[in-house]
Amino acid sequence: MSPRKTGRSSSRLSLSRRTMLRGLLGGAAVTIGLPALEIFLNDSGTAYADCGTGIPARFGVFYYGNGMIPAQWNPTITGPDYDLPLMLAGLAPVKQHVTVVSGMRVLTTNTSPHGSGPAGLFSGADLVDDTFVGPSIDQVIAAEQATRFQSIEVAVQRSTNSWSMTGPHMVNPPETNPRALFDRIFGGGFSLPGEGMTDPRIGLRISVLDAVTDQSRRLQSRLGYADRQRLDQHLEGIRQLETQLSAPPPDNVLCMRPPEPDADYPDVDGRPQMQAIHRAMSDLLVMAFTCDQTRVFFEMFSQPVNNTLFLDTAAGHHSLTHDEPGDQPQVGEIVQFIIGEYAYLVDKLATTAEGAGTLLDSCAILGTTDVSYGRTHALDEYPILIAGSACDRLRPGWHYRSLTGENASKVCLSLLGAMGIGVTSYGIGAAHTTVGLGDIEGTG
Amino acid sequence: MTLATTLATTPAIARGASVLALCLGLAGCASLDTPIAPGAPRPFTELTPAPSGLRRLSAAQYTNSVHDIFGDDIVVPPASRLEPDVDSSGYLSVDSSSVTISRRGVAQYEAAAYDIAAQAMDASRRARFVTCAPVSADDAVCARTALEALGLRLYRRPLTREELDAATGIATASAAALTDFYDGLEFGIALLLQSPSFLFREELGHDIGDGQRAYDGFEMASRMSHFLWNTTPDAELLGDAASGALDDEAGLAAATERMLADPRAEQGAREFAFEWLGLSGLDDLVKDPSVYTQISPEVGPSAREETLSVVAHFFRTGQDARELMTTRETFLDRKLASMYVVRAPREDFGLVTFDEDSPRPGILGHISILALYAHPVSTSPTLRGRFVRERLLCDPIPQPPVGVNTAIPEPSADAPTLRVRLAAHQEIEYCGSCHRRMDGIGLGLEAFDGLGRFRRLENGQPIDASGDLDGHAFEDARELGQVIHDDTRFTGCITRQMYRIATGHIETEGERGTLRELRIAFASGGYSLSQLMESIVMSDGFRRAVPQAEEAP
Repeated sequence: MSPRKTGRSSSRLSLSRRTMLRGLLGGAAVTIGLPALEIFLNDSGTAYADCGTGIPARFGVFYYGNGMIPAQWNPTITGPDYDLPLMLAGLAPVKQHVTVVSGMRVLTTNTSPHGSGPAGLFSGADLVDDTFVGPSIDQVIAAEQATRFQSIEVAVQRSTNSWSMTGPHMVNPPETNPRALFDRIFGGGFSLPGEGMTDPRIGLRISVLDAVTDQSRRLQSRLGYADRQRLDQHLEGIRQLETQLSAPPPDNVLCMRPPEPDADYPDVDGRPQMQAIHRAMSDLLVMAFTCDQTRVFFEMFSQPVNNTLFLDTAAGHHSLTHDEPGDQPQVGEIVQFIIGEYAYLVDKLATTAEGAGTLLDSCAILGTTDVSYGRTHALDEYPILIAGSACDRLRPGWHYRSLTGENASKVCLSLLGAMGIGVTSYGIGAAHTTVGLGDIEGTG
Repeated sequence: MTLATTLATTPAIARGASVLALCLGLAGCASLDTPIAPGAPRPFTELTPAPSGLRRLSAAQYTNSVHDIFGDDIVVPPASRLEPDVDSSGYLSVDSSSVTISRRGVAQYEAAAYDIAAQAMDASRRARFVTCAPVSADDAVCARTALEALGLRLYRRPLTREELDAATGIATASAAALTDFYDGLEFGIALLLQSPSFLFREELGHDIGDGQRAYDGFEMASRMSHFLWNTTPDAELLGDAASGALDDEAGLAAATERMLADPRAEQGAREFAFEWLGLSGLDDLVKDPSVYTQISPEVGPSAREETLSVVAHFFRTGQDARELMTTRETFLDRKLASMYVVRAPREDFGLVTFDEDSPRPGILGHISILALYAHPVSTSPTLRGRFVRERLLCDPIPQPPVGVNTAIPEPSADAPTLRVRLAAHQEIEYCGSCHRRMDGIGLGLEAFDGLGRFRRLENGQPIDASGDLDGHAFEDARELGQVIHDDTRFTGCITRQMYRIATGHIETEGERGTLRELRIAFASGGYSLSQLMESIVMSDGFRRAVPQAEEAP
């Protein structure tokens, strides 16, 4: 494996631990003591050197539903000293880390009021047959990862739906409960250095997964194209599970098993505990980064078209975006609250040490929603926030305003570049671009 | 809450303009539902069936199958720990033909497989599955015998030699490693439970010439049992498949009749109602308790149980399905009874008959539908009207245009009621062209608040629930129910949606003839749901297919 060869492109690591494990099967207790991932070592062999050479770039999406109001979102000042209108007020403590990109346009045909925007931004094309035509941007990045989890999907509002898609009709169902998220990342299959996995069943489980793989491949040979694609995804999932089963313990002294969150977050007076759930999940995701359990996450804070009762507002969020008169103060209050929660996540990353800096240094956390002006389902003035510099490959703390309604795909292409993904274009049709957005790119 | 729930309770995400594509175009819809004069020629009898392929088990089918195969005492992980169903098309059965298994799903199915296998091999249960006495920990003959029998049930067909060899190999190698026959067999069972041949229904068909395929006996058994029972075939049905009994009309009819008489058929009828009426959103009903003081977490699930019970009752008794829009019979628990202001039945979900002057139009007057198709603090004539158009009449409504102001006027002294406020909205032509088709129907249900409780006044003004549905006037909700009862599109729409759910796809142009025949059969059977189910199983559209495309489109 040679993950450091360019620093920016982490080609898919094929860690063939299975081969090692196979030799250890046969009933003997399997103790897996594999060497630390080379990717975490710099050229002189010390762990956790510099962002981008020793420390990996990481990507996250924070998405919420129902849009914003451009006049209450877009700063009027460009550059580093940008102002914070009402909806962005919560960014104040982390402003130096957050770049606001305004005036961009999602160039899909806008056939679905709350679907065309996310489809356009995340997959570069409008919905076709009710689904994305290809993987969402987080999954393009996830496909290049060899961590215990290629990606983690969460949702604060209870739902099985997500815009994180590995391909058409291939949604990545989110974890909606902080305890379930904890169990998944830090439960049974997770061990700290020295805890040593000695479960003889792990080797046997991997043998079973190999047999499932054989059956899936044999079945594929009898199927048409669409079904072969579906089983490819199944096979990919099996490979990922095998990786998980044989993953070495994290090699970072800052990695700790976090406290177990509450098992249940019941609604209070008919209103979900969005803040408590989001913060519990954020804390887990931050530790998952520290422990290098994943480098990619996708958070559905709330769903498109959701009618969640936020705060003490008098109606559901979606109803308010359409029916609240005037300047829509309640909508403003809701979006301000949500952006405050984005800021919580950013702040948590910015105050968690790693190497010589913080976790946020290595991150790009995209914050966005499904439309710009919720009342009209508009796709111009598309709201885009980016936190973190992805190891100096992006310019943080900046307001870039497009005066010409530029293609929002440019932002995505810059993000993919910052993550070291070697693609030269993003988007299909009108949304296609071969250039990123230079103004938000960094020097790294 | 699934995607379609989001769609059902609020305007759509992710469906795009393809709501229209659900149908054959408006002209096609109309012709499907036009009554046919006796003796008139049937122009669409040539069938071009849909492509065959894999269908992933729903969470309910997974759970039901495990219970049927391993025993009702097996604890299956809750749905939240299984790959969730998707219904971006509006029907999870249709999405079952396109969904895959996510990375998380693979891990969840793996965990569930070991959980179930361990329970099956518990000393108290293992005799159900292992009838031989193992002579050693790695007794391959005994393991093979057990896995062959379980494999037949789990794969819904006999295992191939290769598959049986692999499962036996896993079981004996694991048994040797763990020095226990049953511990090893757990791994063999866990393999079967994680195989794509269990998690997906392989309904591929075999070539019968002319580019068409027919499903073989085992494939038919699987199609029948998942449609009619929402679970896996039983041993008798697999026996029918093996003997060739399902290869001819008479055998197929006999098996179908047996299945419809089996108690499990109620599961199939309930699954149909669940998908048809879009009731999954009732798990996460959002209502403001300061507006609707009677709301509590059990209201949604109870309301769903009421509606499913009524449809199941119609299924059992063969009652004319049109009367779903007029019936005064229902099934309530104490909570619902208090919300309907009627005396609670002695047992939960016992039969209750509303008074003759009850304002409620059959299931359209159920709390389930009235609360689901409404907002957290108010009713929504638009959502209710769209439900009637799309789910009861198969008359799709396009997405709202983008870039337009979607607000309706606030309540005021001049406009105290939603009817008056919506009227202003409808005067804007680009809104009105669709909203008139929805709101006018939905206003017929305005005498029920956003939680489905009856009311006479809104903001102190008497409620006017009159209107007309495509030229048929009604004075109130009961009359609206009667208008839908009398509308031939209603039964055509039931037929079409049951066919979608049964076959796992949205009907294509090539199936018009099959649908026309099914609609005629439904009518001649007195609109009995169970007879419609039987007709669908016997139809060519259910039994035949074309191959899936070999190459990328």
